[in-house]
Amino acid sequence: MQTMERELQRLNIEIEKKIHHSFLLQHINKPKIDEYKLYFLIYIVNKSSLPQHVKDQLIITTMLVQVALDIHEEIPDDNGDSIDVKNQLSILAGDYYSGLYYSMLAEIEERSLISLLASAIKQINELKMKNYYLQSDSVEMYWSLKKQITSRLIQSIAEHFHLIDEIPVMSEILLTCDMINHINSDPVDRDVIIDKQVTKTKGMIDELPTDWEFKQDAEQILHRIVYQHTSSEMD
Amino acid sequence: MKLPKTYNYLKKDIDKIESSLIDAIQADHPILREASTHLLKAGGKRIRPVFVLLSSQFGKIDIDQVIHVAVSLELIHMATLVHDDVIDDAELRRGQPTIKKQYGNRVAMYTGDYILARALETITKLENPELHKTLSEALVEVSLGEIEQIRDKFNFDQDVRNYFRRIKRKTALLIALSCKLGAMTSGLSQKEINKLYQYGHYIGMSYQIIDDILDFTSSSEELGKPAGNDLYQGNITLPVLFAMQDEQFNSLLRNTFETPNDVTKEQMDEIIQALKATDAIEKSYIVSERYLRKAFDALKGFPNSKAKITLEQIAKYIGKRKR
Repeated sequence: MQTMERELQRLNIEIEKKIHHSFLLQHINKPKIDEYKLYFLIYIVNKSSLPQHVKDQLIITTMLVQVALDIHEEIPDDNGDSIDVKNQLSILAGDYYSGLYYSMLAEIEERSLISLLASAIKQINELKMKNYYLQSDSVEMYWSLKKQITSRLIQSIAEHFHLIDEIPVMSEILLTCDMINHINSDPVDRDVIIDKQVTKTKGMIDELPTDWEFKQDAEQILHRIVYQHTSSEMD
Repeated sequence: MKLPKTYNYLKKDIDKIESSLIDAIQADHPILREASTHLLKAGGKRIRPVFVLLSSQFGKIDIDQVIHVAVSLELIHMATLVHDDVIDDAELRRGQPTIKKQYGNRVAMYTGDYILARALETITKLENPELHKTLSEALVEVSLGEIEQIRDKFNFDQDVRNYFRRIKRKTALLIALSCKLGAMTSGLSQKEINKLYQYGHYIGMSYQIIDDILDFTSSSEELGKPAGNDLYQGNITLPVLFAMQDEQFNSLLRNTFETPNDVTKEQMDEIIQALKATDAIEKSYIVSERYLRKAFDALKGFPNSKAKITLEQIAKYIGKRKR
């Protein structure tokens, strides 16, 4: 885990550098780099036999795509007023980061990875449309789509490297994190939903083979997510 | 841009591109499909695909490659338009309600991202690494240009170089790229590829300058938006920069836009009249014509062919887009 922490830190810095654009960052919310998605990406890509520089570029570009999609998700759906400069620039920031992903992978001539990520972006937007037009009473379907949306990029990379066994647990952990960050309902309902999700995820991790290195990592990540959640509740 | 009829000989290939474009946006989600199709069917001049096709005619044509490039560039252009309409809060495009207006910002964002992803999926069918480097760098440039355009809004201290860099990124780059990538697919020499890129660049620059002139010289009916709208939105274009060399106009402009949100229609009319009273329009036309001449020059080394004649006719047509 210590090596992993160093990798996380190193790549986080690289991503921050790529995201940096002084004018944009003066006006938009600083893009959030999802540490758990980054962790899973490092885990998956490190299992491959790609050269280190390609591994790095793949991780950085996938996170750039994630950042681009997340920024666009912040654009308010208000049809009444024209959007302000912050939102105008958020749209352009997302487009800029998408361009960067293409340019970085083109630079190292990784055409198949460009296509792989483009295909994931396409699928994510299809899923987002489904979720947007979902009937308000379809709670289960809502969370099922959320899970697919939040984990689609990671899943695409994992499938590309034939690491499919880890996908269900990774998806469940990412959904747990999403729920904690985004549920706005009544605090009692919120806690019930989150507890149920944590229990489900923990159950899935428990079922993983004990000799599997990923099991311990998954336990620690889930523990960290829950710990961060409970400590923020106490603040 | 209404293009000359002489490229009717390309109709078969243009039809193939059109049907590939329709195939490319067949999303699973019905509304995503409907929104993308609606945008595509609203028309558009397909100038990028036409430039790809025309440029490819100078070498050994590989029509599948040409179609992939043409479709991809048009999709990139479409994706940009969808997001631009959210940025500009535009209600109409080509006389039709924008995706933003019809379905809301969120759907417009998803549609733009979806179409861009389809563009990249399409272009990655081509193996040429240089083509991907060229296109991807241009995509980054286009985004940077749009960011810069917002940064420069209402900045009356910017200079002409700034304007040229902005319109290069905003308009000329994708046209130049259409010519370049078309040439790349048909195995032309680097020198020929560069010449066609230059042609596209100069055409794009000239075209945008004339567009910026027409913003002041055309009526609101002709424009489909109020005259002087670019300036009202804070975009400082070439006619404005030239007119600002006149001290009287300069101070009128600065005083009027001291509080941009309070500028009235009457004040805008006064500014448009004052701008027309200077030599700014004439000077802008001279610059535009200079770019057109350079576009003609870029074609000089190529043997006479239908494609070359058509490219020249396009240049002539742009020159005639006056008043």
